[in-house]
Amino acid sequence: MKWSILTILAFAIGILIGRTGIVADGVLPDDISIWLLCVLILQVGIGIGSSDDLGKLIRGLDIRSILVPLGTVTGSLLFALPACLIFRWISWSDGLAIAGGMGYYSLSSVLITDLKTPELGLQMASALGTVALLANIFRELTALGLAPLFRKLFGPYGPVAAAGVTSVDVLMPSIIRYSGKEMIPTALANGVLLDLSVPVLVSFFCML
Amino acid sequence: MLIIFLMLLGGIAIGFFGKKIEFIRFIGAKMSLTVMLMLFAFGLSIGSDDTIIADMSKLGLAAITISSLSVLGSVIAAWAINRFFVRHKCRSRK
Repeated sequence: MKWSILTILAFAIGILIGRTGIVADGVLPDDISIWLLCVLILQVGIGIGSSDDLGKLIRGLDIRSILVPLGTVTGSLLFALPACLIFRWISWSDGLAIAGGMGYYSLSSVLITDLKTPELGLQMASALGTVALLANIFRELTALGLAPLFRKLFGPYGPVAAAGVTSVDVLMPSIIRYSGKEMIPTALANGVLLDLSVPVLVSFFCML
Repeated sequence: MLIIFLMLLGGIAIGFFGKKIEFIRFIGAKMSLTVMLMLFAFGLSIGSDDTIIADMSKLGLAAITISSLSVLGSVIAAWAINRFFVRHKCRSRK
């Protein structure tokens, strides 16, 4: 949670400095975000590969541990579609890319901005990236704040599904508290499998 | 997209086979730092764009709507899984 706050702070400071106009165009190389993105994707992979979570997941794998992440993805994408009808300026595939972030705000926002720039131009791509950032931060906050409510209304898997990727880190303590220790393998499977699928989902919908 | 997927798989392989190597663990652990740098750079480019700043309430509204709907969709799916898969298992145990 500490890192989430620091990261959002870094973003806010970036906006403020950008507002002042101190950093003239061309000081930062254009492709710096693409390089950082490549580093991040590699780090995400190394993180997944080197953590013991993957081994635990493969050893304890049963069909129901795939069911919850599958439901999380299907539910998120299906329900995000009507939002694109309300906001006509977001195409349905871009809306799905935003919802496909599953709470992974850093990765989804930069992926969307970078992948959409050639097609829509930097301004519109940045706008979509900003929506993805805000939407996925908001998802983390909702999952954190409403965990007890989700447990009560939607059963023990509710807080796990709401959390998305964060069920394996930020949200794990709340999930254990409200849904019990027996939910740990499900939260683990949900987080790790979504971690893997976010880069794939987001870039897939960006290409449509 | 293929490049991203391959890099992800490559990273997993490096992490999996190199988990004993200090340097590789170190790189993997510094993810939050990259994320901070990325969002700082993203903030810079948004901050210098007047149109995006002016549109912020429009973007925020879209973000809250998309996020609320997708959370709702996923908890409903969680409810359905609990209702139709877990209860069924209890019944068959009897």
